[in-house]
Amino acid sequence: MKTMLALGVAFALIFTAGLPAADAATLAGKVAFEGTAPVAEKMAMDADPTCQMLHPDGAVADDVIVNSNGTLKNVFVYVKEGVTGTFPAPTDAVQFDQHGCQYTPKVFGIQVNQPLEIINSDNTLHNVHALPQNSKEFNLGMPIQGMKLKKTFTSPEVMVKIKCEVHPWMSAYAGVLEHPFYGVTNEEGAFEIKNLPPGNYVVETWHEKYGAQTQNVTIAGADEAKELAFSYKG
Amino acid sequence: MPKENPTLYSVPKTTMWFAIVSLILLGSLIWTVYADYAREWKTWQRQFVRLKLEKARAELAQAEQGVDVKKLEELNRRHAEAQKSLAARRAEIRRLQKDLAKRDLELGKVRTRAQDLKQYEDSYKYYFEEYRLHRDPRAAEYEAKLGEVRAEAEKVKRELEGLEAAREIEARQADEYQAGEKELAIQIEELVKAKKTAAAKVKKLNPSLVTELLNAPMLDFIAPTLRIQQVVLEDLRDDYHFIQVQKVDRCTTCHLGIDQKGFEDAPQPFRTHPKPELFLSPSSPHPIEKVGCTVCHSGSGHAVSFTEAAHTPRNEEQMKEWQKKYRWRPMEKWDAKMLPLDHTEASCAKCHRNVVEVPQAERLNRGRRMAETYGCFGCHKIEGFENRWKVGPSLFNVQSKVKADWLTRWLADPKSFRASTRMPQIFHLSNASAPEEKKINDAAIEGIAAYLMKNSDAAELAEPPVPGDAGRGRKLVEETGCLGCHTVDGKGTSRFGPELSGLGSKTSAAWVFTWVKDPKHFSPDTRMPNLRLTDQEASDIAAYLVSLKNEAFEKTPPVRPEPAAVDWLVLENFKKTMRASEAEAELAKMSPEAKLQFVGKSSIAHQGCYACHDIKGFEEAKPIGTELSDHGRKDIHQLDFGLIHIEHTRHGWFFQKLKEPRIFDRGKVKAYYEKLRMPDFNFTDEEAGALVTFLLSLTREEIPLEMQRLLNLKEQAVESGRLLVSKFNCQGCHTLDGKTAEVRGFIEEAGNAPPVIDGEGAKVQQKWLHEFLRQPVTIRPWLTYRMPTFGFSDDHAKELVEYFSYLAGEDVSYRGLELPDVSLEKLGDGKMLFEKFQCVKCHKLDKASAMLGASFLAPDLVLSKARLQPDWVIEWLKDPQVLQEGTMMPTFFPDGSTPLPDVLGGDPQQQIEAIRDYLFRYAPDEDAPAETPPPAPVTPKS
Amino acid sequence: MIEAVKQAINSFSSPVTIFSASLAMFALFVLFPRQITSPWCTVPILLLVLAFFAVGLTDEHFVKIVTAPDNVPIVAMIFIAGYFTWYAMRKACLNDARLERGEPTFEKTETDEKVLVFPYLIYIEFVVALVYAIGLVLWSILLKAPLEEPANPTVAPNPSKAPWYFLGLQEMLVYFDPWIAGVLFPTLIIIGLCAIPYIDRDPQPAGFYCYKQRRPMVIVFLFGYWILWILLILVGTFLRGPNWNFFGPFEVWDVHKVVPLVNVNLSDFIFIKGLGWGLPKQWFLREAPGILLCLLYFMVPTTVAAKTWLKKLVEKLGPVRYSVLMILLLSMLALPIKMYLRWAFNLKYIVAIPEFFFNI
Repeated sequence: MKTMLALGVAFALIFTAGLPAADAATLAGKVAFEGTAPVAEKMAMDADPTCQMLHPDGAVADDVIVNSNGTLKNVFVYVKEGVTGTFPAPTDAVQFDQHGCQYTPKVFGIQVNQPLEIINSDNTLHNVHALPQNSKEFNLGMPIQGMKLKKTFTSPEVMVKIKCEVHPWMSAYAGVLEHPFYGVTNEEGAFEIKNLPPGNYVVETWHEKYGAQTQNVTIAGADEAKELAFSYKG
Repeated sequence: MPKENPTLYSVPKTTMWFAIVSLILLGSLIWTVYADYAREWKTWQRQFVRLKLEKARAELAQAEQGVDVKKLEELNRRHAEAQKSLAARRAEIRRLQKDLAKRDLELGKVRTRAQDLKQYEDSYKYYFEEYRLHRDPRAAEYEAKLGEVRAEAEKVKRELEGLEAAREIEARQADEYQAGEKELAIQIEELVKAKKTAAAKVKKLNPSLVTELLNAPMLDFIAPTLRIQQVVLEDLRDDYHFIQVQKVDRCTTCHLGIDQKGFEDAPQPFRTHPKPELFLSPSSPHPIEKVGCTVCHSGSGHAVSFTEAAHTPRNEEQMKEWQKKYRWRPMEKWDAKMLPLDHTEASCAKCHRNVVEVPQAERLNRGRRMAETYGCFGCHKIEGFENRWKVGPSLFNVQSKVKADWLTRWLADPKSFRASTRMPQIFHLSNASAPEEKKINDAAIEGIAAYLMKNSDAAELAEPPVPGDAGRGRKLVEETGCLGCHTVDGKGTSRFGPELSGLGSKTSAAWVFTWVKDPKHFSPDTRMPNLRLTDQEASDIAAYLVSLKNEAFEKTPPVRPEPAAVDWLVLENFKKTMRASEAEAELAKMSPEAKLQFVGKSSIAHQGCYACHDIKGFEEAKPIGTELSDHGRKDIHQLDFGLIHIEHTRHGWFFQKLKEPRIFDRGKVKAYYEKLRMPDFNFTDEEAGALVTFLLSLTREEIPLEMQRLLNLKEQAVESGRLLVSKFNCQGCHTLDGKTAEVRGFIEEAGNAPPVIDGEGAKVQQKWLHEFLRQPVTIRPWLTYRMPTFGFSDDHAKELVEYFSYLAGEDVSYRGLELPDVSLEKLGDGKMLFEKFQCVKCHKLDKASAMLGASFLAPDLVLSKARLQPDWVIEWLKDPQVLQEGTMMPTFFPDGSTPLPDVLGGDPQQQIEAIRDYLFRYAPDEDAPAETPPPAPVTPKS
Repeated sequence: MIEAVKQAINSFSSPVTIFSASLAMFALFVLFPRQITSPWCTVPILLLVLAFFAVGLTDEHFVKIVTAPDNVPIVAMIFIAGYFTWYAMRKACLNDARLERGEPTFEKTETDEKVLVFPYLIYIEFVVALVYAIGLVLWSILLKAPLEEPANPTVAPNPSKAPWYFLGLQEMLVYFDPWIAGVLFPTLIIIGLCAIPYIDRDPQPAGFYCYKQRRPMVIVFLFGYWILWILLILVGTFLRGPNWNFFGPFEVWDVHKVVPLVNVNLSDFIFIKGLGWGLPKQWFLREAPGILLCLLYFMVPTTVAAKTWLKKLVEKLGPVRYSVLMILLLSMLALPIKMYLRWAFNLKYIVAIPEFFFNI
């Protein structure tokens, strides 16, 4: 039975692999937020005058960002189980910028062995301290404005915290996966996972403060567009 | 007149009996020979040969499989062709060979001629030189001769060379013809080499008539294949009680695979020894030719039968199995029976002496640590473990700390107050469980409490000058470093110091305050260090700790002994030295108060409380426990098994004693003062097992110095350092010397934990380290955990400095720093780099730069000149994560690159050196403070 | 059921009972030899002994003691010595019967028949020698000599027993002072054995088994041999355990067994218990009663018997030989007498002179 399924999936993959246009099953959705949005704390940046200058109106904590349409931003959505096959790491790097004494993007996904390009756009010293459990930890100092460094993660892990020691309010999270089926909710609270082959999957969402949720989804055929809705309570 | 040919009995019948009896006798003699030659160990050796044969056959099968059949066929075909073509050329080859032979003959002749000529040459030369020296006229003659011979020799040499060259050419030709065939033959050989060796092995191992004959009785003196294997050890001795006999270990007669690879899965006794890189292999520290077997495993090495080798069964079950299978019985008179496999590590201590921990001996080290922690050395004298610290708190001031009511309930059952306490149960144990005995125990308890209350000094307690907040106090306890040694209210994991729960039911806030402000105030010998708390902090902590109460304990009924029981105890004591009537008279004279005091004093003397606690009046008292220095060899007949039916083995007795110390009194009728006194520590099976291993390691067995693992002076210094580290629990907070810090188990962010101090000896300067240990200062301002003041004496500080230095491979000199010269240009580059890298963002340099602000105050770099070693700074700057895993200091030179390629030619090494040189020459401003006070720790916002 | 029998045997066993029972059996044997040595009696006795061993071999403890390589010969001794004693007595009784009927003795009839040495002597001897050799070879294979571990001076075996030929003397040590039991009595034994031919010079009942004519000598010898020698060896081998305590045949040898020993000297009996004077300081005075008793013991029976029922013997032997005989005889009898005194009255020493290490 299992072999039949595997064969079936393989067949499907073979067929769909030869037809890139047809293999465009997309998983999209929104992550809603119920309840009142918590008041974001004010962050004092007076420790570093450079940062203070970049935020003349003051800055707020960015761990919970509720969009105007009642959705949650910076939720990492990814396929947790059910992915078959190998997906070689893309050669183009994920851009990770330190801008305005904040990380951009705050939450992102990256594949195993895919290069992560870290940029310092600020005119102050930042350090990028990543704390993975499964890969090698690194802590890079970036004193020069505009300098770039490349790093990779060697093992999958959800999620890897990245922080800055000089500016303790800065934090980012990286979801390291072996496949490219992930997405992050934007200002609309929407995410999109493209090119998903048919199959049964478990999709998980992750938020820094509100934790994880899972849903099962089945992609029957190529070209399908599935909608998923998640919701977090405040 | 005798009858003619009288018969007394029938001779033919007797002849028949004679025949029968002769045959029986022959049979019995054959049986004798058989009984002598059929030895147990030969059976095992034959079994081993069968095992090896099986393996060889498996190898052969594998080798055969590995042979590429197609390739072999191909090669064989080509080889056959080559041989055919050779055969075709046979005539030519033969001719060539004949020519070669002729050539060789010529060569031979010429060679001989050359050699002869050489002889003449040498001789003439000698004579010529001699004659010339002595101005003999014959010199000229010989000179001429010499010349002639030389010319001739030259000619012959030319000829020889020519012949040799010609021969070479001809030989090469012959070879060429055969080369092809030879090469193919070699290739074929290569292909089947593995198979051939495997087949040869199988053939050798296969039992055959020859091996049977070689092993037959009467013939087995020639070259038997079954023979006793032994290791003769020059330096190790067996103790035969009246003489020391050289050890001869014959264990390998049956344990044939023990030092060979490949028998890891074989059944015993053929299994390979575990950890062969550590034991038995020639490159290990314990090679079998030097060490043998019995020095570690004990047992009777010279015996060659299973029973006589004194194998010890693991448990009752195995013993029954052995009795059935091998007719096993214990070797009663052989003292050094084999150690059960669990306890083999006990033997490590024979050679690895004077070390705190024996490397790789987990169980033994655990047992040692436990013995130290539970205070065994206080009651029991053990050579090599004397002068240890007392594990219980000092009772010199106990009347100010606790109330008598608390003391009595504590003594009656310590675990009812604190389940994790190391204080053992002394009273109300199994040999004092009858109702009258309970009352007597209660009387003793009350007496001890009364004595301690009266015979301790009242300490001056300082009341907290400011009110304390328990909430703040809890935070302080969790964050200042108390959890490095203590557990409180479910937090922390360290069992080094006492658990602090329930303190409110025990003592007062004033006591806690005074103690925590300065522990040595009450107890100069205490190991608890001073955390340099401010009054407010101490008050907060005191408030928190006394808020923790043990309700259940407070509800336990107090201990109220009967006066009759007290009287009885006093009388019992008196009767030891007086007559009964006198004793009673004395008793009548005493007041109840005096009786209690007397009972208390005598009970303390009887139970030996002073072995763990400092008690007034018992400063010089001798501990009550048995000396254990040679207990590993304790004569089994001197251990009192009482009426308990357990195996009569040393380890069995020790284990039973540790699990229930009073058990050997069971069923016996004993006077009060004759009963067993060892208290019950409530060990688990595992703990007791480790302690048994430790006890078995205590022997006075003499191992010659050449065989011992002697420590050189540096290693000795490291060991005394290790003892201090163990005493003060450095590894509670710091990762050091192979052990991870206890606190790293519950501090999430590695950067918030006390630093790893592996390699400290190479990191900091010795003078600075010495002063720091004596008086710590704040180095890392963000750490909430603070390094306490231990109050090390100069000697101890020096020991620790030596310890760290030797561990890091440095020499100890306490010399100041000698900075190499550096050019002003490089200094300038260093300064520039320093500013470009914005080190100041985190590393406060002085008061002025503090204004620039940083949310984290990394160590003040002003300290580096006096504190750090210059070479270390280079390594640190290259990649801090290597030296301190999880540190918050980033690397600016990832993978050997630099973000500033224009400075100093973009060479990271040069850049780092420049920064370092700048750092070490930086002079602080005049108005900067001499020592930066520890700032309040800033909690980072996440 | 067997357990009950074993328990019964154990509770019956004590030095007194064993000794007395043996004396009783001995008395029966020497008083009614004809009946006891007849097959009707011998076979049941043999079967009884074998039954005892059969029962005993079910008990693991008994087995351990009886099959110990050192003790196997002692077990064999019971049967071998028993057989030869029985054979001698049987032949003696049969000879007596023959002599009564006026027939010649066995020896006489056998002497008239002569056969050739070879083959009749040599051959059978040779075959028997071979059988003997088989026995020794099989014994050596099956019962290995107990070559034990190297001696440990701190571990003394308990019980520490002498070789079998001294066990009789070791048993005597319970009742006598070491000087007496270890030096005096063995000397007397040897001297006594040497002296026998000089005391008993009667040629008449010599050269053939006979009992009636040699009754006293046979009884005396058998008494000395069986009761005072073999019995004591058997007790010492099988019934004496740790600390030389007495243990029944099926009793476990417990090292911790403690039996009170509250023996009292004769001088204590007389001066403290009897007269209530307290012990005299001078040893001669103190032991005077005991010494007197000993002297009387040797003098009185000798002289009285000389005048009465041993008159003929005195005439036959002459006073010197008679005295020597009586001294040896009375010394021999002293052993059981002392043993009974010990058992009955807890008597320790008749004469106790610790100042010279001399006690009787």
